[in-house]
Amino acid sequence: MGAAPFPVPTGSLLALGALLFCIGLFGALTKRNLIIVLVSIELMLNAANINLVTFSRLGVAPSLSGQVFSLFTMTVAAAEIAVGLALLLALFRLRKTSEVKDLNIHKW
Amino acid sequence: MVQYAWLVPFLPLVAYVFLLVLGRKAAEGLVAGVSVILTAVSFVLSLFIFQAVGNNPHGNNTYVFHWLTVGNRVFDVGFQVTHLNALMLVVVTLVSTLVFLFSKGYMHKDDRFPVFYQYLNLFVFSMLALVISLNLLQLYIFWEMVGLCSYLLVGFWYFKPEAALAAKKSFIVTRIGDTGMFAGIVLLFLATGSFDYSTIFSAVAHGTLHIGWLSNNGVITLTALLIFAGAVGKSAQFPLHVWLPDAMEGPTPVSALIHAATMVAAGVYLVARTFPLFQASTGATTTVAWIGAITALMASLIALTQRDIKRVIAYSTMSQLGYMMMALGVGAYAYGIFHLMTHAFFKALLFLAAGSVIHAVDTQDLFEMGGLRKKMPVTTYTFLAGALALAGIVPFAGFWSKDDILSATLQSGHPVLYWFGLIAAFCTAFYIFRVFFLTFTGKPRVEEKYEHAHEGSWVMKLPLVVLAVFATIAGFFNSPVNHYGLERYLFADFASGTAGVVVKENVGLMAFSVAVGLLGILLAALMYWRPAFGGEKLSKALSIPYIISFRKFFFDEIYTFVIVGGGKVIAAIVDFVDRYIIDGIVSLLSWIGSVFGTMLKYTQDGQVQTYSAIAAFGVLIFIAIAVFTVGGVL
Amino acid sequence: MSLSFWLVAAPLIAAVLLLVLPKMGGAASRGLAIVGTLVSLVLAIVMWLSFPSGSTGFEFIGKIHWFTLPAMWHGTDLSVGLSFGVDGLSLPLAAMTAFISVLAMAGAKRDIDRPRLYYFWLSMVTAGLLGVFAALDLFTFLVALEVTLFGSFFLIQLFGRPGSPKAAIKFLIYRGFATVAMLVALVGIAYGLTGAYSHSGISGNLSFSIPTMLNEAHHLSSGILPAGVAGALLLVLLLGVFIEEAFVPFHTWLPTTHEYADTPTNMVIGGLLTKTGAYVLLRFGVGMLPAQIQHYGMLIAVFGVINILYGAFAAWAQKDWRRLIAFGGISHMGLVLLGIASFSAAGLQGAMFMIVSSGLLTALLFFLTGAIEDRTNTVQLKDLGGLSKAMPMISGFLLVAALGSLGLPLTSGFISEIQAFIGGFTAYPAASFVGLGGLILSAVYLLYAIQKTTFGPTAKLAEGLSDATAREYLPTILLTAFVLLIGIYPNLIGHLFGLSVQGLLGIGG
Repeated sequence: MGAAPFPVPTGSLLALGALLFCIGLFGALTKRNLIIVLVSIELMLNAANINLVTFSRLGVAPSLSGQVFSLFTMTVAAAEIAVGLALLLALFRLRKTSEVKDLNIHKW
Repeated sequence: MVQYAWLVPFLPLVAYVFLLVLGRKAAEGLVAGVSVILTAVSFVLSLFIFQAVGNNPHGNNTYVFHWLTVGNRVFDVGFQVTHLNALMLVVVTLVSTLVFLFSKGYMHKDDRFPVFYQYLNLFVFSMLALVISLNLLQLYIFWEMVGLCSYLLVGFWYFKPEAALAAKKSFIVTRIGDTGMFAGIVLLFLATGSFDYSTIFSAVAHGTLHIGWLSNNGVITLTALLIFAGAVGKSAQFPLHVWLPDAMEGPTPVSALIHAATMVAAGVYLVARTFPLFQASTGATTTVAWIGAITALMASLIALTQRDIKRVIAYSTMSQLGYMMMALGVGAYAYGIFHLMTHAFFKALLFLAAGSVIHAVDTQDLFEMGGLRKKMPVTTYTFLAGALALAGIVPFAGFWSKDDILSATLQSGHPVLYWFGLIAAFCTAFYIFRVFFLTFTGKPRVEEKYEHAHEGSWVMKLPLVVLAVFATIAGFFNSPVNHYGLERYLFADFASGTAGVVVKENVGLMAFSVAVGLLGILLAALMYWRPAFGGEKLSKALSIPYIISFRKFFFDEIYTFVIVGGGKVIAAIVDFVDRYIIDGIVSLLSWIGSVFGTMLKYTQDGQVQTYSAIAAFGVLIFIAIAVFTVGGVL
Repeated sequence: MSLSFWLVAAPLIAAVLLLVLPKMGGAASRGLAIVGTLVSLVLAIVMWLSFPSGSTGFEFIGKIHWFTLPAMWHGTDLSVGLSFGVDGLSLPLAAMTAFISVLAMAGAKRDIDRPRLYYFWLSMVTAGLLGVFAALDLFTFLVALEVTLFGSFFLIQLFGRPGSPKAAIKFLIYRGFATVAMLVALVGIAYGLTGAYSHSGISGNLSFSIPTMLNEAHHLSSGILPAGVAGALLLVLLLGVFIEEAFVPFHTWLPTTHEYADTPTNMVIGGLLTKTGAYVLLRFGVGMLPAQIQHYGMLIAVFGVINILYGAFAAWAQKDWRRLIAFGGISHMGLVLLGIASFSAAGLQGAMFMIVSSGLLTALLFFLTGAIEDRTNTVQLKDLGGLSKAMPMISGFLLVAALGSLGLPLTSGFISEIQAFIGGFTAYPAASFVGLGGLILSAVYLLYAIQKTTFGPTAKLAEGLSDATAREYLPTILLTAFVLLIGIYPNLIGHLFGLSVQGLLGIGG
């Protein structure tokens, strides 16, 4: 594969990935609502995807494997979110809440 | 004949097993009958054996069986009938038979009558087996067995707290001596590779005893003293004498058989049996002689003031055993054994007679008796025979043997010990006639007890009469009458044909000791029979010596305080250390663990986001470290 | 498969059946467990009778290969499997294990909660113990040791007296630590003897096989294993043994455990489980590191004497029969140390006799005090008294057990003591003289307890109680019979121990 016509600088892409990851991490650690937490986790996964795609351009022999791998990640993320939402629904029925801080039955 | 010697202990064992099978509800007549008959057969057998050994002094007398292999050494068991053993067999079986007969009357209507006979049979078996033991190991085995029987019989009336305590005390105090004896036997085994008397004696003769860490002479003295420790415990010698008076809590026939005639004499027998070992060490013989003399004197002084009839006789036993030890210590082998024999007869007699009295008046306090002569003539005159024998009045049994011992002590060059013995002889005559006068003469002190006093049935009278006959004539077994036959019989055990000191007849000495005895009787008569001056006044005048004697030189108090108390304090300290220091450290460790756990548990707050934040922070740190390491900062 | 394999397998099979068979009642569970252990007992007796005379090695060997750990040491593979066999030392101990376990099961009370679980764990512990004694492979040995550990833990925890969980955890932590220490030492010994310093070259074939290790140790008398390494291994092994065997000062788990465990468990723990440590010391210490045992002999002897006296004094101070028996056992096992330290035929044989004697007597004492407790609901000395009146047979046997414990001749205790002291006086006279104090003290504390229990006026709570029942007579009479039998005819087990001692001393030179 040749060079792209308007190559976006690698540094910008990595910065975007890092930014997205930090936003996701912040959300996952601080948001009260489980749904937002799940969304934040998706953000982090996407950040990882951006990195994967970015790095797949580089190297001695650039290849598509990074992009293929990001497709895998999306698939797994979809499955994960499905399971996550199902758990969330079940929890909500049981405990009438979707607040993260209320889910502390493993507290000492 | 000698090869059947095993039957002698075996028959009482048969009786024991038989009674065990019969159970606790067996009829008294059957129980006593079987016991008496089998023991009597043993006695007859013993007589034959006694004669057979005498007729053929150098015949085979040893029978060996294999028992246990240790490394390349073999422990044997078996039996051996020396002249000494043969004599012991006769004495033990005779006294046992009579005591068995007597007990039929004495223990009549006791709840556990069959059990009593079981224990007694077991005792007689053990005692006889002890006597014909092949070697020191076997002797030790039966030595402990007789101790066990003594424990069981002293504690026979187990529901009495005093009996329970006395039984425990008798076992533990003798155990102290036995432990020394155990060590002595083990050391002899190490030094010679055998428990056999003959092997040990020949090693002693050749001076070849040797243990890695101890020389020949050291081994001889050490083992002799250790074995003597066992004898001290068993024969109730100073300083392990405290158990014997308490052991009087047992039924009186037990006192007669075990604590007068047989088991307590086993200590003397042991020293006699290992005589060559003792002879090889001056230190050991001197110790034996002095311990014997001190015991003889001390016990006779204590006996002067006791109020309990059985305790007086118990202290008397202790004192007489002291004589025997002293005899062996000064080398008067034959006379120690001779006295053992005569003493067995007259002391068993005194105990049985005392038992007859106790049976009649149901008290042991001398000052609740009195005037029993009219009601109990047989008991009175048999007791008198025993008392005269004990006091050493010619021609009763005790005279011959005690006089031999005193003469031997003086003639072997121990004047101090002689005086110890003489003073003890004076006290002996006094205290036994004090008992006699208080019990049988004068006026009854407690009327109602006197009222129902009566002589026992023939089973109780017959043993008294038989023993009284022996107490009267047994002295002649070793007297000019038969050219000192017993002495010669006993000496046949030794290759040289003699052992230790042989007494030269000295009529002067004999007369002197008889005079001392008569003096003691006279004093007793003046104080308690025809009171010329009241005993009360005298004891008040001598209040301090009186209290010392009455309180038995305070041995019990001192031992209770120092040894038992000390042991209990150590035990309490160990227990404290165990509970609060060792286990305390363990608890401390577990407490530290639990404190850390408690502290850390608060990080487990159940908030997923906290966990993830901490994890993220941790990852950051790792990244930082990695970056700085790569960058060369760290 | 060989007999020694089935020896271990029989109780294990019984245990598995107890788990899988449905609807097992109390009687059926007990019956199944007894059958399993009884098979072991019969096998042990068969092996006993057919044991080749004069054989100083292992007989009736059976092996199952399990898996191979590749390239464990310089490219050689390590074969791991189950391997069993018995020699003159382990056969009597295995027989005693089956014997005491059967009696503990047969004598157990009939109204146990969850009998299936109870007899399952009892069978497991029995199988574990048999495995410990019959193992011919380190792996097998360590697995069996863990089985005994967990089995006993559950027996104490689930079936003990109120408060037993705490005691169970103490037991588990202590003995778990002992197992770790022994594991480190034993694997170290295996590497040392067969791997690193094999006589055949610097890198030999690493093997966990106990006969191979013993064989290497035999060749090692020339001293290829550095003394420092061997010494360190022995000290670690001793640490493990001391905890396992409840030697002072690592003993405090034992009285606590006995105080809270129920009677059959106490019989198994006191009679058998506390003997594994001594077995380890004999098998691995004396067998594989003989030079070091001799080198540290004084240390072992001194610890032995400390145990004898400490245990005896502590027993004297106890108010509770069970704690008293526990400390008495500690005192007894001190004599085992003295015998081993002497490193002589008599001493070693005395130690072996003492293991058996103490096992039988401890089990008997626990059984009888248990019988008393069933009636009076107490084993506190101050509450008892005059039991002879109501229960003459139990009292009589209790006295016999006490007399055996204090080493009265014609009981097994005496045979052990005299041999141990013959050994002791050969090598360490001063320590042995001090140790004699134990003989006196054992009489003091045992007769004191007897006097408080069976003598004296009958205590209120003992009035009108019944004597032993048929269920109680069986274990009592059989245990007493063996105590007396060994005392009267010691060669019964002496000839097997003698063979083992020859084997051990052949190694030591």
